[in-house]
Amino acid sequence: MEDRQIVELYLSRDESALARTAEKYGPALRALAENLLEDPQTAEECENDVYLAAWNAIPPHEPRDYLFPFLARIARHAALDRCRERSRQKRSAPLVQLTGELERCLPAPDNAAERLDALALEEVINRFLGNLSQENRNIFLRRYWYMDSISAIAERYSLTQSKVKVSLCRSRNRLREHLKKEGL
Amino acid sequence: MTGEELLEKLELADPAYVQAAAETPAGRRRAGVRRAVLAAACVCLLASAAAAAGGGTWLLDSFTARGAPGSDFTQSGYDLAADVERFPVSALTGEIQEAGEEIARQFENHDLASSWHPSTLRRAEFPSAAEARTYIGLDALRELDWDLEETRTMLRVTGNSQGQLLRVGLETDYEVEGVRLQAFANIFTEHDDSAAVTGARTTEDVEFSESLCTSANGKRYQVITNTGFASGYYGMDGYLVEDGVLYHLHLAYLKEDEALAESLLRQWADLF
Repeated sequence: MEDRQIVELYLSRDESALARTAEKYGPALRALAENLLEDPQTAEECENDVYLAAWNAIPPHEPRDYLFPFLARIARHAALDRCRERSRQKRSAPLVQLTGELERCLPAPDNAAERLDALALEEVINRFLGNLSQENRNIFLRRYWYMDSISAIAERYSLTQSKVKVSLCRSRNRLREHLKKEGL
Repeated sequence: MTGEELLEKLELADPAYVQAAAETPAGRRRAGVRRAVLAAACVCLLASAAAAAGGGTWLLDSFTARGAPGSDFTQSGYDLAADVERFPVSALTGEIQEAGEEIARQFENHDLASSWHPSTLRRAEFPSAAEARTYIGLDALRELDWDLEETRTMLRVTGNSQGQLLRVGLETDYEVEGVRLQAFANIFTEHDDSAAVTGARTTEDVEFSESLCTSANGKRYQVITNTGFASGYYGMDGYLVEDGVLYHLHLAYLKEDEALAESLLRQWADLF
């Protein structure tokens, strides 16, 4: 079923929207959550959170042209929230690794986030992404948006793991420069 | 902002970018290398299959006593393709940036009757490989922590008449109990759109054989050995691509030192 048709089901409050969503995007949403949580059961709970959140959010949202990014963003958020619920000692290894990698992109750890509203930050992030080549952007997003492992990215794009690491290293350096230029 | 907050805020990425990253990728483009593969008449299925797992290199062709039409000479040799990174010149952050201008000047002042080509700049004044690496300034370039005494470090920079850097080759030589070693690191830049093909040529009738090995760290590397030259020396070459840089070790040894040469090659591969 086309995304537009699924969104119409949500808008008309037809509960089959949930089944159609699960059918089409369930495995991808579960995989995204599992990348971070490393626990199939909690990942499944996150997936269910996504359906409930989508049911509550459509309407007013009408993501006819970007249903999967819309759902995936909810899944990502839910997975990060679950991680935060865990004590620091029990934090997932992928989260520790990913945040450690991104920590090095920050020119100086401070209250920069508070100085920028979400809209300004969105522009900063998208200007950075827009300046990357499509290949480097996809690799960057697979790592820090979908939270894929290096080996999964290498397999996805038929690249060597070394090439993926070089691409990520270069993108992180660019992000650091970009954040510095933007005054963050 | 912390790394975790930044990770979270990346959710603000444009849905179009997020969607694009979710789509099934089309076949990977490797035009330069693919052209070279197609051009090589002697690529066999076995070599291609080996390539996929061969640490980023694969044998295109090897030949013994091959004659060229209208020529009395015959050649033996091999061609090997490598899946390397084309580094942006801006990634070379050392003084090497000045080499481009010097190469452009070489083109301007070049005497057409001269036997040397102005595209190459050789520098042999480095006291050690470490200094040469600093001169290059590429993060991806590995420092090989090898407990052998360096006998020579040589840098070859290739550029074009516009002063753009095309390739950088760093050679470090060693000698261990009569076995001569040359370790190369080859960097290709964004301005070099030729296929990354390396290899060897000799006018002697020697035969080459290929094998694939795995280092102690699980890295795959390709080994090419050749039968003896008239001088009594044999050759053994290891190739490995790491972080987009092509590394190559050439060993020249006498038959009785074969086990030592093999051991040194393994040591080299284990450094990655």
